[in-house]
Amino acid sequence: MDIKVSSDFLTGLLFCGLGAVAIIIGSSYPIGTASRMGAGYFPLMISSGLVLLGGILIIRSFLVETAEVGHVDFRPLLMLVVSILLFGLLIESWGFLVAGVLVVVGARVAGRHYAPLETALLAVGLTVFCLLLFVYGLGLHLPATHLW
Amino acid sequence: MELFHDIGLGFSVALTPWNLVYGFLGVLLGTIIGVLPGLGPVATISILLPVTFTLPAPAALIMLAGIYYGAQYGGSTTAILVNLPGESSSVVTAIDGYQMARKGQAGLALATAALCSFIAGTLATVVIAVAAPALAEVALDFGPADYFSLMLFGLVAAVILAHGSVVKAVGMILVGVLLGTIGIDANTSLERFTFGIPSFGDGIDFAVVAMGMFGIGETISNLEQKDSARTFVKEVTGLWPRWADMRRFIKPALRGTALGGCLGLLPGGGPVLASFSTYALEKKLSKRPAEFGRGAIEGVAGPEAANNAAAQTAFIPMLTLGLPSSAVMALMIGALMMQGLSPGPQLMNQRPDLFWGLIASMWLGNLMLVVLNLPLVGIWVKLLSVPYRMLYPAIMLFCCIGVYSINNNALDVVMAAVFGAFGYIMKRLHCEPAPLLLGFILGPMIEETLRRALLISHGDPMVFLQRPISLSFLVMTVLLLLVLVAPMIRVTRERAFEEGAD
Amino acid sequence: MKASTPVTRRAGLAVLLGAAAGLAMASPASAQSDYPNQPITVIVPFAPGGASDFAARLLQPRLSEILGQQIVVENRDGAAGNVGMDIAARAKPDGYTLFLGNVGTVSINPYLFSSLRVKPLEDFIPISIVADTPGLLIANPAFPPNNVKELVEYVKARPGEVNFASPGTGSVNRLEMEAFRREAGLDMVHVPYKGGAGPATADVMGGHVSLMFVTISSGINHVKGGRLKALGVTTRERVEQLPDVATMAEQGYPKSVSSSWQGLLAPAGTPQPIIDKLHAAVVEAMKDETIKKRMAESGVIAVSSPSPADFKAYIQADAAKWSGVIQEIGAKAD
Repeated sequence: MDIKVSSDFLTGLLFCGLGAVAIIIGSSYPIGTASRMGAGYFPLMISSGLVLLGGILIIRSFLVETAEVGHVDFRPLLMLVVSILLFGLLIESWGFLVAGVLVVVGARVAGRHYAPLETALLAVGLTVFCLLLFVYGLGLHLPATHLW
Repeated sequence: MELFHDIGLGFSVALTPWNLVYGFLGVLLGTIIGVLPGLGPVATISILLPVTFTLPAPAALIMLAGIYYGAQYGGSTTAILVNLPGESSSVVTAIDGYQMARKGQAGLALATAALCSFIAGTLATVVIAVAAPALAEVALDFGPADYFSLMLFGLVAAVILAHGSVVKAVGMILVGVLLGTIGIDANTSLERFTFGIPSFGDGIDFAVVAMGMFGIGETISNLEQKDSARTFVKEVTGLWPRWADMRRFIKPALRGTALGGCLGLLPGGGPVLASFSTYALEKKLSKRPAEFGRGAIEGVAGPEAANNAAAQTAFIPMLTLGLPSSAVMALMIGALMMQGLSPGPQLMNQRPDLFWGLIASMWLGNLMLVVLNLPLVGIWVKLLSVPYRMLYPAIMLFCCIGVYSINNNALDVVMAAVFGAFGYIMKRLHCEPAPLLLGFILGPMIEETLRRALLISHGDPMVFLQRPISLSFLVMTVLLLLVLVAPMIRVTRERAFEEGAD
Repeated sequence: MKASTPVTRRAGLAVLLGAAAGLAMASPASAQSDYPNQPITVIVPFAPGGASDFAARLLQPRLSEILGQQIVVENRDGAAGNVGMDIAARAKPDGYTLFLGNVGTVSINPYLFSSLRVKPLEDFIPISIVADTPGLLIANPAFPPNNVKELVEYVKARPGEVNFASPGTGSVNRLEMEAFRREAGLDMVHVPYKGGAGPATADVMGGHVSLMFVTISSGINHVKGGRLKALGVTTRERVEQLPDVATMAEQGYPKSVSSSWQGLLAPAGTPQPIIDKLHAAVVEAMKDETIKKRMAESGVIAVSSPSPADFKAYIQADAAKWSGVIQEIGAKAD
């Protein structure tokens, strides 16, 4: 997908958004005074600065010509992020072997490397290798697999 | 001379065949665990620390030193090879080290990192042996106000790290600072931005942000490119530094050692501040500043020397005063206590054998590191010639294991995925991750020292100007701002339409 | 992948290294009776190298000797010790998972963190205290007052001017100062630090902050070395290692008696015979001269409770005291 929007404009929008969200959430924290700062003082200063910078970027993107974002491929982004999310969500309930195989397979699909045999071998091989080296060899604490 | 006698005593304690074996084992274990993305020295040492409890004191000390340097170097290895800074001070190494690897110079970068670390480690050990007590006094003089001004200077210097737009770099720093405020506020115990999730109370782990922004984000954008990603690394050239390379890196390494050695004395951010202020310095001094960010050997040599020197001088407050200046040093004190030793002035007088033995161990640890890692360089580089379609799934798996193992917390992995997406988006918007990470590391310290300084002065902001150390850093900050802003104004005036585009 | 025994990473490592060094860990498997017939895990809710870890690892060899089973120390740190406490509270109450609690996790955190699920006095059965670390009131040597009486006069003449440090807003050392401050009616400014006693102590040593409470183990060397001076100690009687330092009580502040303690607890539901057996083992272990000596070297007093019930009463009194202080300062949180 081609995004024909100025990257500076989007960055500005993002900075403004992040700053605004932080200001809104942080509005419940006591501000205090400059000499005796409350929990909200410093975050407010920083998020206001962020909104200001975002504003500068947005305004500037209208005044001067800036680069467009260009072609973005959403597949690797979504697939890879989802497979790592799955690792995080499944490792404690299903254990390391399942989560490990999933993340390798997910990563392969994200990069459009299907080749089923290679993928399967890689997934199983890597996961078992890690299990042997890190769990049995070095004693890292990874949850054992129990599908049942 | 007494110094030689003392050092001789140290080596007589440390230099036994068994101790060398333990030292080597320490470096090996430290490197293996440290290479796992996300497991920096603190995590590695806490995993391996109990192992040393069963050993006699000198063996335990030398093994710990080995683990420490091994873990530190392991972090740099992944930073260079696959753009995964294993700990905060190797963020800077990742910038140029990884670019060198992409150009086929991974071996050169790794060897440079190891050699510069060794040079810095050796010199810093000498400094400890000669001047530790005097330097510790200097560290005590640093009050919260001074520390705040130094951090502020560091944050402004972080802008130099970026080779793109200054406005975006500042924005990324602020985003990092904001992320750093997540967690329980140290002054009031109020939970900030934790969304009611208990494990956010301690804040987000550095490694989670770094793995996401660097490792995962980078992999996503590699997968996106049609062809270049398939040949991950161009032809591998120059495994070993040649004479010309050495001439290029020796000066940055020495400057890095000096800067790192000084900053390492200060609590908290020593090694991080050291590595990127050295980077900023080298970029400013270089005749070819444009090469920085694109694989400049000086950008690896300086910061690596600096963070190793800082890692070494961080021992000074602990050894001479018994005060830990970082989480790693607190672990070291715990390890010494388990051996029935309490670090501090008494140790030096009552057990000179162990005090000097520890110093000799430090140097031996550094030596072991080079001995172990130079031969490994070849193997690491071979790993890069594995086709990328096999390599990146492995990197992703290692990332997941590493991030999970920091706290045995699955939520950390989920957060790393989120930061991966964020990192990729920011990369596409031409915003670099390094300034964000530095903001993330320095932000909490800035807030802490600012509030503390004002509490101590009972709200009088003049404290920042009245203390000479603080004042000098503030003046330097203003000067640096002028240097940074001047070209921007000029550029705007000349109506250049694209500011610092790649 | 079902492990038959809960051998943890520490044990795995120890075996790996032990084998390499020819120091294989002794594991006499002869069970005296039914319990214990497998390794016992002690969860320490802090990182290796801290005071709790120190106590646990000192106790470990002697305790496993007495019980005839391997004791595995497992560090589960995070959220001021609450992570480890939560894990221990939810463990099977069979005597094979124990918890090394301390003043912070058991007596303070429940009143500090409203979100804490664990109720230590309901979710655990106390076994015995193992270590008692008094608090020490330290000051920069250049700070004029030399004892508590002079300190009170000095601060009363300068309300709101004197700063005191603490290793954290919810730390026992901060609460000790708050309790003393109320008892003496002093107006001082609290400067909180984080990351243990180190950074705060450094600033007292550097003269940036005037005074603070620390545990005797983290302050004793600095006092002996003349880097800091001690104004008082929070014990009933003077401590052996610092005989010249008067107690807070003898200087007129009898409420300032407190301790950073560590003790062994078991998850609620653990059978009473097991509790009794463990209690007897701890009492026996704490008589060990090596343990006593090693603890004394760092200012810690090796102790044990006369009975599990006694330890429970001790915790109840301790918790009541700190929850009271927390409520008072909570009313005017800074």
